Amino acid sequence: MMIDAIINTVLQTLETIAAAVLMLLPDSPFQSITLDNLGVLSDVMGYINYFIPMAQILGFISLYISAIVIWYSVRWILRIARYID
Amino acid sequence: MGDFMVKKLSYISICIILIKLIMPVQAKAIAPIIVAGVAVEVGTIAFWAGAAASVGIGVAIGMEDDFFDDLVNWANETYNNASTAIKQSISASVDEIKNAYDTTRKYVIEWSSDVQQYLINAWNEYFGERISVDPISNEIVDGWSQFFPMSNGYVPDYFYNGGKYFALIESRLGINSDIRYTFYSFQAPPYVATTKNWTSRIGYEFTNPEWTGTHNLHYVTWYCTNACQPKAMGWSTVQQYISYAPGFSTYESKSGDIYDYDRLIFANFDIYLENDIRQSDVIATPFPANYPGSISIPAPRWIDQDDGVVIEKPKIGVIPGTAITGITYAPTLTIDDAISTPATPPTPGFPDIPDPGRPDLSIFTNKFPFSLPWDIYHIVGLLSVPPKTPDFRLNTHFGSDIPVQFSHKMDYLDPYMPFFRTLIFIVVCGGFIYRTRSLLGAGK
Repeated sequence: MMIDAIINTVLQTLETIAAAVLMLLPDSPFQSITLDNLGVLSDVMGYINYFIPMAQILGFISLYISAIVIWYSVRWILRIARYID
Repeated sequence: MGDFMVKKLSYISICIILIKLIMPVQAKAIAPIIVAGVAVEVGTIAFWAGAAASVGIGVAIGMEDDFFDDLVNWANETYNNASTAIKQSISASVDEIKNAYDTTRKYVIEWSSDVQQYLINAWNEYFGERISVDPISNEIVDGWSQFFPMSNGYVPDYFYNGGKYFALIESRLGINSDIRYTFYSFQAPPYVATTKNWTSRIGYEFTNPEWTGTHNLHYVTWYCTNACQPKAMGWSTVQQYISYAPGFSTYESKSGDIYDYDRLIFANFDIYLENDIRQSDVIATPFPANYPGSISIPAPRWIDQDDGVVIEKPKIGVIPGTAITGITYAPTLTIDDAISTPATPPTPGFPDIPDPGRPDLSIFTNKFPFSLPWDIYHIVGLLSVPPKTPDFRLNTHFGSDIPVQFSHKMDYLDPYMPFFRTLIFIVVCGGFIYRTRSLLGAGK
């Protein structure tokens, strides 16, 4: 289909441009931090996690924030569309 | 200025995420969205666009990667559901069919009544979109019959009845024409014969038309045997309802006396894209038997291939009925229930639907500063180390010669801590719920 081909070409061009721009950026300096680098902090966090379920709480917080962001986004859009007040 | 840059970066981020999400499925996935967008209100489009953006943001702040899968699979879900359900209704080994029957493929498969009803629904859903009408030419967008030699036919209408589709053909006939119609066999000859309903339209009636059909497994041709011609000069229109069975596209590559035809002479518009992911997975062309109340479906397209599968509790063979001149049916062949419950479950030979692939966001997640959301997620992840039983040890000296040794391991709490951790987690969740009320404006 002609339209398919055009859309695909546009998408691929956009992706290529985006990828080319992103390639110029530096790598994230934070990705190199690992548990091994943290040393004793890793043990301390283990002790803390023994009493407080940090992993579960942090996971929940991330999901919670996602839900809140989605809600605000949807609400914003719905307001634009005058679906709700 | 700072706010402006943040906004701009946010927009760029969302755009790049959306592009990355869309790329694997490309235009084919966009097309139905566009179609749907035309059909619904602009507000709804905005809703979905916002939802997609929100998913992107959600991923950015640390949602599981599975969300990507969900999003990508969403586009295929409808197709998968239909085809999977059809697969599940299929159980007998194709070898049984092949061994029990000859290779002429002059057979149909009759579905059991429960499967039959299911298929009526499933096929309507599955193939419904294939029975679409070209909005420009008002034709059903596939070639399915040939008007030979001089008329152009088109299909302005069709209707559904008892699992069978009937199409209304209209064609314009010139005067002094050799009126001859040929319908090819994906419209089964029995149907062509039994549903023949020649009428003519207003003002251009035929003169005592007497039609005679000659039949072949492949086609049926109708002649006007008494030199009937339109009364008037110009054009006349012939209407005929014949069966129209959806989902026949998969036979274009078939060979043999039944399906050997050149689709080029039929179709002037091909609705099936070459890379249509559904095409590889559909049941083949219906070859309807003239059998009231039944859906008759040909073998799956893999019937003459290596390891296909066929339909649950099938009765294989041609339905015995009134023979039509020129058509020789093979005897009915029935496969009993033993075959429908094979000792070893057959492995369906259906090809997998191609995975459109997961969006590659690595270049985006590793490059500063776009990586910041993922960096936060990474750092937070570092804090989520497994719980470790505290073990306090002290081994030193007080002064020069007084040893101070202390050891206290809290492993005696191990049996209880999971409970308390769960309790703390519940309390935290409750706190979030409580705070959310005010955050969302409840009670104001």
